[in-house]
Parts: sequence; C-alpha cells; structure tokens
Amino acid sequence: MRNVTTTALALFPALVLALALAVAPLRAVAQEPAAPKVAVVTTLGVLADIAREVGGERVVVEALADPRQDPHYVQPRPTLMRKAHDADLFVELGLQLELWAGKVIEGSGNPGIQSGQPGRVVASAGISTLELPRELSREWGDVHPFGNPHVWLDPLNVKDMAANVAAGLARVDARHKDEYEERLKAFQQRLDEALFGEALVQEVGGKMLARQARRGRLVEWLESKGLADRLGGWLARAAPLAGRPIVTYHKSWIYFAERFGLETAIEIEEKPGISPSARHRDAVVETIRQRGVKTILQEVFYDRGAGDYLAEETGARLVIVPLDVGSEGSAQSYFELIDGLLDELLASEATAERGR
Amino acid sequence: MSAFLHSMAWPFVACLLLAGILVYLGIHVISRKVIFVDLALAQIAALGSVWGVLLGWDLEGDPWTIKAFSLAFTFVGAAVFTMTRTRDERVPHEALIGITYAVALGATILCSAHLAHGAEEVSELLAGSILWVRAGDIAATALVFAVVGAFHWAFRRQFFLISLDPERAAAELSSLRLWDFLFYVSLGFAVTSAVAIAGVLLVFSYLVIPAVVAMLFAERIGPRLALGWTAGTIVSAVGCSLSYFQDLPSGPTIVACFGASLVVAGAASYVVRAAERGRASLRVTVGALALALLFGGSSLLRKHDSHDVEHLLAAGTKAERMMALAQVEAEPELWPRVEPLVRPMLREAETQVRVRLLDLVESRGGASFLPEVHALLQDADDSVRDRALRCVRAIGSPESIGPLLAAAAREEDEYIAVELAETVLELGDVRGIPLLIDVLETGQAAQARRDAWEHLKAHLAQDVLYHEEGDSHENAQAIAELRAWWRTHEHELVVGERGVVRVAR
Repeated sequence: MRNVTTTALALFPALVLALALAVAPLRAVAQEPAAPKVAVVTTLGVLADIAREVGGERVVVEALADPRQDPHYVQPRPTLMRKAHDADLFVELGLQLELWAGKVIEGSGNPGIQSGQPGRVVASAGISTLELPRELSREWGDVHPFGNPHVWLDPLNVKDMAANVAAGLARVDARHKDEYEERLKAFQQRLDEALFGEALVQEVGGKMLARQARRGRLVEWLESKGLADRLGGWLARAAPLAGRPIVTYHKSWIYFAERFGLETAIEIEEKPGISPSARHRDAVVETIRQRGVKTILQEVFYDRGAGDYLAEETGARLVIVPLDVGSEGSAQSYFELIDGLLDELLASEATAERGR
Repeated sequence: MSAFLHSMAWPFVACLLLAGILVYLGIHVISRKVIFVDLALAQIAALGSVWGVLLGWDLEGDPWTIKAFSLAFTFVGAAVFTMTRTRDERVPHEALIGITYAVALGATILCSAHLAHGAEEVSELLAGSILWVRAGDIAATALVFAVVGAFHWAFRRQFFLISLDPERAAAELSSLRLWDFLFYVSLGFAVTSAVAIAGVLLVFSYLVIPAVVAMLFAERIGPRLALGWTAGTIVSAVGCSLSYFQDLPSGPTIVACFGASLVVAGAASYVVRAAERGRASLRVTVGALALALLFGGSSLLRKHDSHDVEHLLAAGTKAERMMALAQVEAEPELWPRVEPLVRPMLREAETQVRVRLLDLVESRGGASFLPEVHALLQDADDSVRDRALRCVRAIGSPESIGPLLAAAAREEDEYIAVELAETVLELGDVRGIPLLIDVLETGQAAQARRDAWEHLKAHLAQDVLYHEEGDSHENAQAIAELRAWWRTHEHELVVGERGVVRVAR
C-alpha cells in the first residue's frame, strides 16, 4: 500500500510536467484584429505620444513603461505580454535601450510583431547616433554599442521617429496610408515650429533649418542671412542656456544638450551601470566648482544619494526630471516634456550662485 | 596624500561605525547560526517601505510615515524569527530565515509590480553607498548604533547567554522568547540603518566576516570582539585606500578585501593549529600556488579581438564601421586596402555611415568614386544629398554636370536645388540659370526665393525688375521676362569671368 502511495505521489509531478509540455507550444495564435482601430503598443511613453499624433482617431495606443521607471530595466510581466499579444503594431525605440522588449515580444505569441515582421517598428531606425563607442568591449561598462540611445530628447530626431511610426502604421493599415502621411507632416511641422518658432519656419522652411541645426551651423547661417533675431520657439527660449555646463547622473542628456547648447561637463555615473570610485566622485565635485556648474540633472528613477551629496558639498542645485512622457503627474505630451525640461533648467541656471 | 584623507574621511568613519556595531552583532548572529538574518531583516524592512508606498504614501514626501511602516514590518520580522526558533531544531533555523528572506523578496517584487515605477525607489533602499555619505547621515546612524549598543551593554548577560548557551538560557531566563524578540528587533534597527548608508552587501560582509575571522583564533567573547574590531578596522583602511588609489568602487573593494582577509586568516589558523606546522605551511603554500596558477593560466585564454579594418567595414555593425572609418582617417596608409570596399558601402550602408564615407571620399579627393557620389545626389535622405553635393563641389569635375541636372529635375528641397544650380554654374555650364529661376518662381520658403534671387543677381549682372519685398504681380512679370530672356539667348550664353553669364562673343 505504501509503495503505491509513494509511486503515485512521485508520478503526479511527472504527469503535470508532461501535460505542460504538451500544451505550451499550442499558445493562442494572434487573431486578425476585428476592431476597426489599429492597436498600437509601445515601450516608451514618448513613442505612444508619437503614435497618437500620427495615428489620430485611427489608433488606440498603450505604453508599457511608466516614465517614473528606468526604461532600461522593465520587468517583462505576463500583463505586458498579453498587451503585446493583442497589438497590431509594436513600437520600440531600439539601439538596445529596451532589452526587455524582446522578451515581451517573444512571450506574446503574436507573430505579426516579431522581428522583421510588418507589425514591428524600431523608431530609431536611420537616426544618426552620438557616442558610438571607440572600442567595443564590456570594459566600458554597459555601453550601448549602437550609440547613445536617448535620441528622443532632440526634437529633430522625433521627426524621424514619427516617420518610422507612420511607415509602420501604413504597413499594417494600408487603407489609411494617406491620412497617416498627412498627420505625420502636420506633426513634423508642429515640431519645427515649436523648435524654431513659427515665423522662422514660415520664412525659411523646416527642412533647411533642421539641416543647418544638425550641422551645428544654425546660428551662423541665420546670421549670414540676417535672420538671427527671427529665431523663436524652444531654441530662442534656451538662449540663456548656451554654453552652460551641467552635470548629469547618466549619459542620457547628450542629444538634448547638443540641440539646446548645453554642455555635459561630467557624469556622476562614470561608467553607466557601475558605481563610481572615490576619485571620480572627487573629480565631479572639482568639476562643479571649477566650471561653476549650477545644475545637477538627473532622472526621477535614479538614487538621490549622490545628487544630494553633491548639492550639499558644492551648492549646485539638484534638479530631478522625467525624461519620458506618461500618465499622471509628469508631462502628458512631448511638447510638454521639452517645455518642462527647459523650464526647470532655466529656473535652475537663473538662481544666484552660492558656490563653495 | 591629503587629497586621499579628505576624500575618504567620511566613508572611513562610516566603515568604523559599521565595524563597531556589526562585529559585535555578528558574533551573536554566527553563534546563533542565523547568518542570513540581516539580509532577511533588510528585505523585510524594504517590504515595509514598499507597502507604505503601495498604500499611497510618498517615499520622498512622507519619509517618517514610510520609516514607520518599515519599522513596523521589522517588528513583525523579529517576531517571526522569534517564533520559528524551535528547541529541537528539526528544521534548521537558518532554513526558515532563508525562506523568510526569499518570501520577503518575492513579496517586494509583487508589490513593486503594482506600483510599476516603485521598483526603482525600492531598490534604492537596499543600495546605499558609503561614498555619498554625509556628516548628517553619519551622526544619525551613529546615534542609532549608540542606542542599540547601550541597550546590548545593559542586558549583555541575557543576550550572550541566549546566543552562546541556549540550553542554560532556557533554564535560567524566565521569558526567553522576549529576549529573543528584543535581540532581533535591535538587530533590525542596526541593520536597516547600516544598509541605508552602506548597502546590503557591505553590511553583510561587516556582520559576518570579521566575526568569523575572530572565531578562528579566539574562544572567549572579549578576545573575539577585540580581534573582530581589529580585523574590521584594518580591512576598512586597506579597502578604502585600495579603492581610492586603484580608482575602484569602494563598497565592492572592501568586500573583496574582507574575502582576502578571511583566506589569509583561515590559512594562518590552519597552520597554527596543525600538529605539524611545517607540513601545514607547505600545504598552504602549494594551495596558494595552485590558485595563482589557475588564475594566471586563465588569463592566457584572453580573447584577442581582431581589429581588422577591412573585416569591420565589410561585415560590421554601424558602430564597428564608424570605428573603422575613424581609424582609416587617422591612418592614411590604410586607405588603399579599404578603397575597394567603399563603393558598395556608398550604395548600401546606413545613412550615418554614408555621410561619414563622403567625408572620407572628399578628403581623399576621390574622383574615382564620382559615379557613386552622383547616385547619392538623389538619395532619399536630404542630409546625404546635401553632403554629396558638397563633395561634388569639392571634386569639381565637369563630369558631374549631367548628374547634377538630373538630380535637380527631381529635387524637392528648394535650398538643395539652389545649390545644385550654383554648382552647375560653377562648373561652367549655363543651365544652372533656369534652375534658379524655377526656385524663384515656385519656391515655398521666402528665404529660398531670396537665396535664388541673390545668386541670379550675381550671375546675371543686369537689372531685372524683381524686388524681394515687392508686389507679387510685378515679380511674376519680372520672372516671365527672365524666362523669355533665357529662351531667347539660351544657346548663346556662356559663363564668363567671375561667374557672370553673358552672350558669347
């Protein structure tokens, strides 16, 4: 009798395992979307905002990451996979920012959004990246081998990202291709106007301004044409920030700095993902003092310990900001995000220096 | 030297404080065989904070409320450990501690999952760093440690009795469980304060390793404490110095030094206690040599990355190609090897790579690549077209005229169209003129029309009734006149001195 019980008990887990192995490959296959609206799932909030701008009424969009989270590390939970399962279009930034996205996509069981399929959009495709590593080895600590991925903080890059999203929408919903194209152009126009000011865009055209800005010769070119005083929008607002050095926690701000004329003097995280050494900490303090840095910029999801220490030591101001668009509390749209960032920076730089 | 002292002063003081309280508590912890209790308590405290955040309190805004939650959970944790300590040890207490830790960790993750963003804030709770410790933190932590220390000094008889001789304690003490509970509570306070400034890893090391080193050599409490504190102090000093001068993260360096100290202490203890010290010393030496050979040998297995430029260019990722191109630019002698690869890359590679290649082609005076550069005049990306145009200009070959005109016929960007026209004229062909007139007439941006007009004025050197800010009707007439002039004289015009277009004589 004892033997039968023991055998039965031993067999039970084996039976369950066999059952699970039999069922696993039969996970639900993605069904053709019956709903008229295109279901878009994105990794980042800013991508969701872009998708709404380009898709308008034709799309229903959801972002998987919260702006208060570190976008590098999001737990690939089953709920995320379920959302991806129902998606017609999956938009990720790429450049190895969201390594977790791959797991979510694979676990979704949705064939349309797998790598190379029409339902998959890599928003950063074709965008010129900064900080391509000079040597490819892990010695640089978690360095992004395709360049710094935080491309969305330069409004000019968002124009290209929107184009990629629009192309994706056109692939999965070809009937409304023209509409997406139209909305894309309108969105890009609004971005240009927000960046350069309506008057200048009217006068010169967004493409030319973007080209000059990308070559770093915008001011020079405007002056040669006698248009320097016509500059408006974010760039005009950011004029007091030109040449100002700031300290950031992570190397997430280089595109923003490039566009708005700031200089990241030094990062707290010497090597991203690896805690700094004592000498680096001292180097940061020294840099702040020598360069007269007033602002220490860091994202909401990073530890405040380092920033508080530096603020106390040097009198610089610790400014904590989101770098993504999201649900409650933070910026609701890309325009609000950049507005907010400029507001914070201008306020911080304007305070009288209490340097030590 | 003074920079070092100034830099590491506060972190070193923090280390000494940690050593002070944790070595003492560590002796208890090891005697009770509950090694992972500090990890468990730290995790339970973190769970308490997360629970508070889940109930709507803010980590930054309501720190005292969150601390209260954390403390309450620590009490509960202490109670759990007290209850689960069974007399007969059928299930080792350590197993239950480990389980509590795992469950607390899982629960923390579950709660954070509901918060979506809470995970970051919570992981911060366990990841303090002594590098960023400030005077205020040191003072507050020292206070907590002092209180815990005083408490333990006052009731040292009871605490030592329970830890070292539980049988006698059960017999002598009336409320054993109460003392157990108080021990875990006080341990919890100390550990959570320590973790806040140093992180879980460092706290665990301070708690366990010096105590173990002490217990290798001493039997009684007094000598153990003395040895443990000495070891803790020395390792802290060595660790801080090493991390400073070798530019390494402090916490992990100190932990590594603790590890090394244990190995040394272990070897020494083995030799000292051995019946035949000579043979024991020999064994230790052989063992050390074997380990050294193992690590040394593994370094021979280092992978040698081939930075073969051609390979990277032909088959690499965008990053590798950009790296390779940078190298080619720096070392001109590589150019001949790389030249054959440029042609296909100009056609196919990523936008950023193509623009970079154009830089290289231009600087090498690459007239041999003209066909590919001409093709790029009609690239989809406007910055590539712009760059290609500048390249064509720099090369300045009359062969480019045809491709330039072809590109201009399809060019949507009015500024590039103007530059195309200009380049054609620079190369001595008058057919740039109608292109400029086109932009003047149909250009959308006012600045583009102005640019076209500026160029036309310079080339025509004649009075035309066109005014930039003028009446559009008059301007339309002026443009019509220009077109008429062009049609009439098209075949007799040449580009003369200073680019002025005139009738050939």
